[in-house]
Amino acid sequence: VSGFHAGALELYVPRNSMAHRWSARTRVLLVFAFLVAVAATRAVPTAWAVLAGILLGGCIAARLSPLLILQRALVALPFLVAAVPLAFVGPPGRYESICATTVLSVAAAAWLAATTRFPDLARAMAQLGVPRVLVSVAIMAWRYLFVLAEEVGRMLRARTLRAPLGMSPRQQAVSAGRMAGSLMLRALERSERVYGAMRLRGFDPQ
Amino acid sequence: VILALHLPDGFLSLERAALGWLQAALVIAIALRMGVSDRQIPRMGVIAAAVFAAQCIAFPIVGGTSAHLLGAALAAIILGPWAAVLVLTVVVGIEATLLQDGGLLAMGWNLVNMAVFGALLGGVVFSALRNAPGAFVAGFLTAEMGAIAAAQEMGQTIPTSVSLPVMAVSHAVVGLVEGCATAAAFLLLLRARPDAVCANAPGQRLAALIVIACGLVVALL
Repeated sequence: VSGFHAGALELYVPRNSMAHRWSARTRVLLVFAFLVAVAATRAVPTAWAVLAGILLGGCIAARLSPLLILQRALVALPFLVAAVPLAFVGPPGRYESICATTVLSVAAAAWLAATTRFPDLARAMAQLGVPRVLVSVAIMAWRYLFVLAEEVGRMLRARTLRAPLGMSPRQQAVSAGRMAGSLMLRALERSERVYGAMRLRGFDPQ
Repeated sequence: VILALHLPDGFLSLERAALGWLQAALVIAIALRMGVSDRQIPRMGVIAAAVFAAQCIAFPIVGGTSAHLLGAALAAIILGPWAAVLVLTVVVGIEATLLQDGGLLAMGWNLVNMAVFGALLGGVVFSALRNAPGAFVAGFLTAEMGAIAAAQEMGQTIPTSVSLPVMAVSHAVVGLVEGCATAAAFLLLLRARPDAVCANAPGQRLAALIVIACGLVVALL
């Protein structure tokens, strides 16, 4: 198990660009419209070219390298590999359609993640009608994600240092479960301290 | 190779994506009404972060592949099914928007897989038994059902004759690991802090009905 880098989770790319200055809500709506357009034109190859052009325009407007966005879109690769048999047995053009629409969609999401910080995204979601409880939970989750990810990193390092090599799969699962359990305990205790601190600062549950 | 990934966009037609979102919206609306108070927000937020972090605990299984914990059943054991639905919703939402795991249009189905076949199913199974075997079965079923459902949902593009056996068999292995880990985590919680295990949450029957209804929708796709 390799070490865990919490920083690797952050996909935001700071730039002083036109697209970065748009409101997060505008960017979310644009990406949703783009995704719907991609899904609606799954069988139209000329539309893919137009949509790829729009995406390229988006990259230029955000001063992002299209290669970076393309590289991040490759996270969908396992699915495309899984679908390879379709290239031989599926209806003609089906596999090309899946590849094109998947890469376009994932690239659009990559563009959103690269141009939008989490707090702005959360505010945009609240403005777009996402229930307040969900937005609050998401904000807290994002805040503590990095803290707990580092906690897991320390636990994994401790296990690597102490545990003998060659645990059986079952022992591996049990050890992972115990780690997850104690992670949950630490998380619960932390949440109680956080709740206390929030109360002290005026948070008032109804 | 990480086995567990959410559905990306591009594999589903617009109509099918909408069907997934419709179910997800209904389930979230019900979960929000099932008595989630503001008191619980910090708890749910930190547990959501812990579910993310627990997914970083990867370990090798056969043949160079590795698996990581899913954590849906464990979240349901701690929070009860309804709060766990909201926690998993947040997890899937953040994964789709900021971490590029799973599409935004496909998110409806990913929510069905994680919140319904994860949190609700795991919660219902665990509350029926409330012991370590219950935790094991809850962990096993959440991994297995989510994978079978995902194969079925992608049936438009990848024929289920190929994907269904592959997903079912590979996730049986993932499910055994998830089950062992969930049971171990449950036993540790029980020993260290019994009050961390959720007491009987209301609406078990409703939760079971929702799981069955969504299961029927997925089976009829």
